[in-house]
Amino acid sequence: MPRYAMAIDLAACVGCAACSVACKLENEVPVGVNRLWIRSTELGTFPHLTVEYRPEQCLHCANPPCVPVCPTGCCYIGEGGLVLLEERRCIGCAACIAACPYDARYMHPAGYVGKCDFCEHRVRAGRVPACVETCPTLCRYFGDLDDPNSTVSVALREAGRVDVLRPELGTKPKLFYLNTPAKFGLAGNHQEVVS
Amino acid sequence: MTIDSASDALHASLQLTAALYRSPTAALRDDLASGQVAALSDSLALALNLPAPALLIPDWLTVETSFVALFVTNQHGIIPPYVGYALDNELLGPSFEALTALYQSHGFTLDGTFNDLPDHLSAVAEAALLLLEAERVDGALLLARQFLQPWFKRYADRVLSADGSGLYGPLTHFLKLAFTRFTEVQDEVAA
Amino acid sequence: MKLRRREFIKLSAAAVGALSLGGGAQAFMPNPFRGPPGKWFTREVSEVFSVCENCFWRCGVKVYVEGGKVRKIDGYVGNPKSNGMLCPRGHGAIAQTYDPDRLKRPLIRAAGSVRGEGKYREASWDEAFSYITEKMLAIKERYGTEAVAFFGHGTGDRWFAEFLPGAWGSPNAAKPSHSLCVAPRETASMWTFGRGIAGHEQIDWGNTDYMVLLGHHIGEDTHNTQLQDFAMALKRGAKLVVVDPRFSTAASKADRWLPIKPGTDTALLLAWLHVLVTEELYDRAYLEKYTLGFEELVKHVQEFTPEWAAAITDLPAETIRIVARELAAHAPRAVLPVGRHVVWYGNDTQRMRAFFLVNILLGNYGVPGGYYLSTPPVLPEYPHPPLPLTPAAGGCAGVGAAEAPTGFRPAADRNRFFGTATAIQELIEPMITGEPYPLKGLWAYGTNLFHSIPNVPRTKEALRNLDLYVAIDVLPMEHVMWADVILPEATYLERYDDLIGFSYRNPFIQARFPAVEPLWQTKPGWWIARELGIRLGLGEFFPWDDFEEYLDTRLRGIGSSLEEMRTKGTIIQRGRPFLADWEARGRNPFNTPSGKIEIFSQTFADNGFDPLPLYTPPAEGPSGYYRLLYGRSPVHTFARTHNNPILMEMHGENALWLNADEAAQHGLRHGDYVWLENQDGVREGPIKIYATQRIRKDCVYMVHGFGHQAPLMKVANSRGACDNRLITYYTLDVISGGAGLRNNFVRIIPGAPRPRHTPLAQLAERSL
Repeated sequence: MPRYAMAIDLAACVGCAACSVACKLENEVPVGVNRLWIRSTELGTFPHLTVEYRPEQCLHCANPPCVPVCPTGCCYIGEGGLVLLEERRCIGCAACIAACPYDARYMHPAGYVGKCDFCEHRVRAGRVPACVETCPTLCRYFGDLDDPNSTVSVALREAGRVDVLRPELGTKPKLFYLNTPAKFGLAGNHQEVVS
Repeated sequence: MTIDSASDALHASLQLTAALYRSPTAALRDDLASGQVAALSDSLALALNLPAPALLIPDWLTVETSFVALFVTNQHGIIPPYVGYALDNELLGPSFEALTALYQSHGFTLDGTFNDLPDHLSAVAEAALLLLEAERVDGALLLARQFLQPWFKRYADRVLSADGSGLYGPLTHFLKLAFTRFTEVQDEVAA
Repeated sequence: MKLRRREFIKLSAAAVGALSLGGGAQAFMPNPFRGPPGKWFTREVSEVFSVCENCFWRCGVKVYVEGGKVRKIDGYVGNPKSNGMLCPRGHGAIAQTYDPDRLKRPLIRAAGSVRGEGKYREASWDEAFSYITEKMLAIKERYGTEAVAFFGHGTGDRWFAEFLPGAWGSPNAAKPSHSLCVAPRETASMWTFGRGIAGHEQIDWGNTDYMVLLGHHIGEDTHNTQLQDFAMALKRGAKLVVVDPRFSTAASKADRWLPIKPGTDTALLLAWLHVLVTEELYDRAYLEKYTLGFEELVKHVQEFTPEWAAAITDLPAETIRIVARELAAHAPRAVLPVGRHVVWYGNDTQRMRAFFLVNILLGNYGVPGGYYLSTPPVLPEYPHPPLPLTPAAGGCAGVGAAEAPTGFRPAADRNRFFGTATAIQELIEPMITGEPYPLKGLWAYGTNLFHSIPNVPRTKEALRNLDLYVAIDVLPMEHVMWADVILPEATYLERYDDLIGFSYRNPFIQARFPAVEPLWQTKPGWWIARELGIRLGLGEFFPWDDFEEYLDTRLRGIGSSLEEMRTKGTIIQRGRPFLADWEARGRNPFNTPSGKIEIFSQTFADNGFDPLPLYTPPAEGPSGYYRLLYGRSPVHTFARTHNNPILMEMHGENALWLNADEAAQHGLRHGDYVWLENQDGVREGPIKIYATQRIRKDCVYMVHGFGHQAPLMKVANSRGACDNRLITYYTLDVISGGAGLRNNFVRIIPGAPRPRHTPLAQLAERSL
């Protein structure tokens, strides 16, 4: 059984949002909510500057806070460690939205919850998620953490720096950020956000 | 002429809808000039116990430009003349698909010269008329209630406040009241 | 009693009385929110090859159709442009096809109304064509065929800005992509290398080790393949230097950012030439073999020291020196990649000359790691009688006709500049003044007259003077609603287009196949062009009547067929990308008068221009004003995509980049709204302030394409501000005809009201 993970090389990401738009179309995500968005943060003072472009989405935590709070059991960890939810059994109580510290979940206008599922329908068919496939800077990697030769394992090994969002929460995210240009780790939320 | 049955009232409403929301043509021009439109709507008003719409018949260029401003270029806000849009907030959505499935089940085909979306107001009204004339009253009522009435409910007031022609506004508002009647009065028409 | 009506629904005889509705009626209760269970990919999906039209890069795409609707667009691996990847505009293009604001039917301006009033009546295609034909023939009779101008941009511009004007007999055909974009680089390249750049910038990113970008906004302009190549080069460890008054996205990836004073780039380039020459860091063998005029350059650059340039550019002299040395150290795998939009200050051809000279001294032109030589594809035309007039429109695809037309008056912008392709902004004045001769008709195909051409009031005045103005477009843009006749084109997902050939390292040909039927009464551009052509008496130039036959015939000329293309999407041919390839065949790629790369341009000298580039300072603005700079958003294309709710959700409003210290001086905070007033007193706004460290204090920056004054476009209308309305002044580059657009200055007027907009989610649902 593979252990799926994703890695995004922030040294390469330019925040173009191709991933975000591809996701919207692939997964029929309505305007107004997002499974995937870009956070860009300006750091430094003129002329010593950097910008971190950081795509954010569900991190498919190994220890997800959203799963235990679901009253109907429609939130679950599926094959490969993907954190999934069954739309039809969702009653729209929003407990999982509140539980997620990463804002990864949203309420679909039709009254059920949605979030990134690593394009489970594609992964099942042996393809990569839509965001990974389309990225024009080739900054996304997806694959099996337990396979040392998978692109994601290689990328993690070769990265200069690997970070996850809010590691102190113990969620054990499986979306890794590589090579952030921010000097001291991933840009914090308190700093100026551009988009 | 008088309209003395609920079925005839539905027929008249559908006729007005089919005629009014098509791009203005010579047929409409004649019907306006000859007073047919006014007579039909007055009779309908009487039959449904509604106030008759106060229609102005403007010069033809005003009819044409008003139609374009209201229903083609959407100058006065989104008032697309598609029943599916009123229900789904998008073109070619689930209601559109349900409607086309319904057409198929009745054996309707669209004439090749009609190049607009099949959920256009006038197309739906045409379909309902055909059903009514084939004595498939339930089918006509379904189209009127499920598809036409929601469009009027959503847009009629806006057409009334936006329209300067004196024709589309009052008639659209009047048709809203008429279709609401058919939605309220469930079983009378079937009699 | 019956009202007359046209019957367009037929009830097939078999169905009469056949069905009872009963319980079945319940099944058709439409649910406004939940569609059928499962997403589109769970149902039957078909695929069609096409070419994206949501920007001018035109990647090959695969279009996925389900239930008669386009559901997704992706790149595909066999296509050298997309390579299986796609930018956000490419993915988001679907929303445009299903945009309820789209132009749906031909419209004719109501008699008695004024242009811009917006009063239209519907017309059949026939009636619209008759109207146009009558007016065209009347103009021909009274003023001559040259009196009709043809503006066009997009795949269909082949018909409207090249073929039709050539058949009709007007040299006044122009593409905004020439004089409002690439003209200076094309002209500079032609007279230096004897070759244009022509479209896809031919940089050998895969082998380069050191890149210097001059104001080139890679990452903000998402030219798919270029972004891929750039990213791969960085990943490979290539070094990057970015020269830009603003810390662009590209700058955020750079090893060095040079925050140059705007308008002084030529001084920097000359200083680099100085260092390369005086420290003898140039590629001697390359220069001896391929170039002419190096001796003159040596003398010319002696005075342009880094110290001289430092004072002008506001960059440290030592940095200038170091970059030149680093370039040389990595040569020939060191390159200054050429950008696209280079109409900056009016002296742009000379800047591009200096730019190319640095590359030449590095010995990288035609060499791995530098510039490769693009080869055009082999693709025969459909046989037709020769056009009376060779098109002169230029644009990304070349420099236009070199010869003045015989039997016709020259283009109305002749004698204003040296270059041979038409300059769109120079064709506006003749519409007003009638000099050198009147222009009384205008066709605008996919060209946003009010967002691209500078000096909008002048454009509006010109439109008022015309006898005929036809707009062929997809959306009710502001300029479209000024036309006498509006012809709605089908979106690219709904139509065929002519084959698209790309000059490239290995050239290739792409085909566009329609994925779905055109909505409403929209029609493809080729059909519009042909129908009009026939009515105008130009039928002999359209000897095909079936467009599939047209495409198939062209493809058979290269041993392929339409059916083969349907299964492949792209045909790749062989190119000769490097000098070695040309030499092996005994061919010389440099079509200059001397047959060599001309460092010293005798042709320029003969025509009164500096044969070697000099630095000329740009106009300075009034005190208290900032120079207005503009650029791109990765999710938008010019002014085209702002009615697209998916893309507007990603970037819904432009902001004014203002240096944070300057903002503080004005008492402005990030997110405050202001007005802008330019040097001519023109006001624009409100626009939001983006107080940032990422820009110098002497300039401001905004993304182009927002601020539509188009009430018929419910998403785009009034969101953000329009840079082009502030660009009332331009400096003509008298060599290329390009319009230098960055000599406008704005002052900031705080206290503008925060605009109230309907939330996009509501608009996308359109529940207004």
